[in-house]
Parts: sequence; C-alpha cells; structure tokens
Amino acid sequence: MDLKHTPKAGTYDGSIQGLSQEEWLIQIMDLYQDKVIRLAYTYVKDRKLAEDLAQEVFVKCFVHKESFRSESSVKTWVYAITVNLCKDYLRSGWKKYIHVIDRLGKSKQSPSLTPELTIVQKSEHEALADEVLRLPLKYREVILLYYYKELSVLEISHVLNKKEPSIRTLLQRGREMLRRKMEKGR
Amino acid sequence: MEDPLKQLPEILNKGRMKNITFHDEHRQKVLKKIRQLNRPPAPKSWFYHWFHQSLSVAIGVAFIFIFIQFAQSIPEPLEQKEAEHAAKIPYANQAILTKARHDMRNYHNVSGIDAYQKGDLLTVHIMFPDNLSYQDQVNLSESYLKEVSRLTLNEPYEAQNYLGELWNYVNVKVYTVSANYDLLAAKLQYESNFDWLGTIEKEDGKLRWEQISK
Repeated sequence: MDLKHTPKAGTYDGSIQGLSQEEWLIQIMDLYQDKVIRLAYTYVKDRKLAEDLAQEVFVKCFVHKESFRSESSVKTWVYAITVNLCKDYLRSGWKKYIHVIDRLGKSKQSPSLTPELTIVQKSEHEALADEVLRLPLKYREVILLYYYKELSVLEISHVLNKKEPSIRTLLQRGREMLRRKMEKGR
Repeated sequence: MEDPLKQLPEILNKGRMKNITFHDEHRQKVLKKIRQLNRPPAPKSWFYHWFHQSLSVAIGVAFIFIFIQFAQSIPEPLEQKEAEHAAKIPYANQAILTKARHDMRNYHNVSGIDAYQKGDLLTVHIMFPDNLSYQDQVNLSESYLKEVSRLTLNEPYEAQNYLGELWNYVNVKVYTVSANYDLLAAKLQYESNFDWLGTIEKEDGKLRWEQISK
C-alpha cells in the first residue's frame, strides 16, 4: 500500500480510512522505517544517532500530522521531516562538541592509515559510497535523495524547500565533484 | 557509459546500510512516546494545589506591597514644588506677632494693630493715635518690625542689618491709619483710605514710606 494514494491530510479528523491515529502511525512506520533511518544515517553517519533521530521523526509525524499539506506526497513529507531534524541536530552545539571529540578519537586510533590507502583497499563500489558520504552536505543530500532515495527533482525541491533549478545545479556540481574525486582516487 | 551513481541504492543497501534497520524495540519506543503524549495529565495532589495557591497569593501580596511602597515614594511634582517653596519662606510666628501687638498697645498707646502672613507677604495694619507725629509713626513701625524680625529668627539683634534677615524672604506692607479709622474696614480695602504705606525691599531690608491718601 502506498500512502501517496490515501486521502490527504486536509481531510484528517483523527483517523484515516477508519484507522485510529496509532494504526496510522504504524502504517507510516511499516512503509518508511528503514528508509528514514538510512536517510538519517547519511546525515549523521552514526548508527545509534540515526536510530534516535528516526524515532524522533515518527513522533514528529504523529504530533504534526495536521500540518501535512496535500501539495506533496506522504513520502516527501516524511523525508522533509527527517532532513530538517537531521539538519537541526547537525547545527546544534552538542553535535559540534561530539564531532570534535570523535575526530580526536579517530585520529588517535589509526594514524598510519591514510584516506587514500583506505580507498585503494576497498572495492570500487565501496569507494563510491565513501566518496558520496564525504561530499559536502549540500551536494551529498541532493545526490542521495536523487540516486539513493530515487526522488524526482520536484520532490527533492519539496523536501529541501529549494527551487528546482537550484536542485539541478547542486546535482550537477555534486556529480562533477564526485567524478573528480573518483578519478583522483584511481 | 552507464552512470555509476545509478547503482548507489544497491551499493548502499547491500553495503554499509545493510545492518541499519529500524528494529521492533525502536517502534515500541515510538508508540510508548505517543501514548504518553496522548495520556491526560495525572491529577495533582492536594499539596500541589495548596502550595501553588499559597505561592500565588504570597507573590500577589508582595507585588501589591512593593507597588504601594513605590507609589508612596514618589511625591506628586506640584506638591513637592509647593513644599520646597514653603520651606524657603520663614513664617512670622503668630505668638511673636501677638506679643509685639501687646507691647505696642501697652507701651506705645497704639490702639489697633494686626498682622498676618500669606505666602511671602507679611501685611501689617497699624492704627496710631491722632496726636502722634509722622516720624514717631515711622519709628514705632520700625520698632515693631524689628521686634517681629528678631524674635522670628532668634538671632542677636546686632547681627541684623536694618530690619533683619526675615525680610530677605518676606515682603512687608505696613499700613497706618488715624485713630478714628475702622481697622476692619482698612483690612478689607487696604489699598485705599489710609495715610501711609510702608514697604520693605527684600534686597536692602529698608523700610520705605509713601503717603497714599490726602
């Protein structure tokens, strides 16, 4: 079942097609739980954090279900909440603190293994995934939403609240950046 | 050549994303959270209500008390100005005026004398006997004013120039009339029907006389 074809939020009155609010949330989780947690992971790059953020996303979906507008599908609405929550987390002071601690820890753990050597040791596919996840956030999110989440440019513009031409430009630049990095890595 | 990025879903889902899944325990946590959100708030204990209401009353009373204190501490501008103005003007003491009047009646045969102060103006009405010369009237008036001035300020008589420090603050008008004149009538219309008007300048304290009628 795709919620894209269910009645839109403008008609919400506490239940959808006879579903209680809780059943509605369970349905949302059935459809998007892994997609949300993986999308969150692409932002925070930490499994535990991604799990926490995904839980928070579903709670927010439940709390703000009245704010869902019929202009977009449920999928883009859920993704938009995920992206905003992840960005809020990345902007928070606590995250910056943890990030600095994390970097210090990692630099002590494997000082001899350079990023270049790591890429050589991995397969080409893994190297591609690594490079995608290393892209700057504004390119990374567009590349991942387009290729990984397979959203259209229009849908991405709804999720990120940006105009379509901007999304196309970011997509193009992200691709070029990635191509240069892959060529450099060979 | 095929775009390698098109393989990204497969690469990520089978690679590093393989083990990143939303477990049942996470789902239960979400459901627990939303049930807590929907749960009506637990009824508060009687102690909570008592404490809350007492605190509200205490804060309210404290606020009113502070407000009243604050309001009282600010005098009204007009009242303050009047108070400052009044403080600058020394008042001729009524007891002193009475004593001076008594002296004038007993020792100088002055039948009628009255004095009163309003603001910074001391008005004196003196009714001399008919046989008293003009110079005697002046001397007696000065004597009366000196007595009033000296006793008012409670300063040594020698320290006062002319009629004393009191006249630096108070204007004085001395009206003299003949003996057969009605003093009450003179008080009521004192700008006319009297013989002499004496005034004292604040700056020099000198008594000056001018003949008004006749």
